[in-house]
Amino acid sequence: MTDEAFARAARTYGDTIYRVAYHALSSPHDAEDVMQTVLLRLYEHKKDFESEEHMKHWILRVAVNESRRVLRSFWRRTAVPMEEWRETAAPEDPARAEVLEAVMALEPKYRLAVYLYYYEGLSVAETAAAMKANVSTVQTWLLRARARLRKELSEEKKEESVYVRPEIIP
Amino acid sequence: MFDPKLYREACRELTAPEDKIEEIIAMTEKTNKKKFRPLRTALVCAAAMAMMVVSVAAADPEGFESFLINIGTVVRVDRYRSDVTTEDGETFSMVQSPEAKVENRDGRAILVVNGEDAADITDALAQDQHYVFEDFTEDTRITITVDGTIEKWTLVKEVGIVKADGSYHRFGSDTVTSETVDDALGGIFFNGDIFKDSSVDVSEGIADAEVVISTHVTTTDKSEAEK
Repeated sequence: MTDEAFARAARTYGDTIYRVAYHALSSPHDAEDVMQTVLLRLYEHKKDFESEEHMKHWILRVAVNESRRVLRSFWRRTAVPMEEWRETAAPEDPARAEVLEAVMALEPKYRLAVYLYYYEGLSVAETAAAMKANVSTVQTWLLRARARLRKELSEEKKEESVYVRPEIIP
Repeated sequence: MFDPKLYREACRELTAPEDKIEEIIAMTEKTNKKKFRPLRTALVCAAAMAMMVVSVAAADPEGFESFLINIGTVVRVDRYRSDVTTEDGETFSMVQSPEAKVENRDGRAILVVNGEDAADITDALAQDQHYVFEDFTEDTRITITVDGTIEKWTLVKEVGIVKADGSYHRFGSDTVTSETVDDALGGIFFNGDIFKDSSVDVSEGIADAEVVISTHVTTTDKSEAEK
């Protein structure tokens, strides 16, 4: 890959890799590390990609693998607290922040599946390929993720709309 | 209710720090992937051989001279590893171990690798007194393990390659501590069938003969190129 082609790809897909890693790891710092590793692998990739789409899928697959490797690393055995992502990444819009928070509260595999399917627009089969999982497994993950998100977000709505009837004093 | 549109809008706001991507691009532009020119090849070999003298020549000086004459090409495989082919068609790899240390910056423990900040390991040292940094290229794996505290630490750099069949082959490792850091330099590890007959195990033993190959090569290369 030429320097120019790499620079173009890095600017195009840097954020994509960051988002994949962020969904997997819940940590902006780890996501940056993963982004760097994946981009360097792209730079050192010797074979030509057949198309832009081929390159994107390669990047997504490597980003998922690298994120998983970091996730498995023993120094990450202690869970990253949810507060870490809130500190740096919460969108300003409350509705967006709420939905992102709900997604980030899911298990990593659900978060990744949701991100690849809903944001990257991959099909279930493509999501399964990127995550090296069976299509039926990914379908189940998405089903469960949607159910949990529905429950989580509707419960939050209920809590917000709790109305206490004023006591009538005779 | 989960709203995919709202979620996509939220994700769009998740972006990597602007300077980070440009930093990575700048870093790769400095890396030369191309095959070395003959002059450079010879000089790299000379630097490598200068190191090998320390451990190999003592055991087999005649073999060393013959080996030096027969060097063919050096191809830089990635930022750590170069593959050398002799004119007889024999090959070996040399992998440069990075310079690495832990710096105490206002109470924060920063792992510095090849002059660049690699990670803030303050929390890891405080909690576990242990941190592992890994860097992968296409085939080369560098693992840096830090144990201890911010004041007193030991850092082990392990260098190896991942073979075509996926198995990991360890070249060797070297150690730096908070006491020896000022004198420590990145070493080079050699590996290949060509060393099989040597009575000295250069793949492991070369760590004791550390030489600043990068400085040596760069300085000589520039001065020769100007001529």
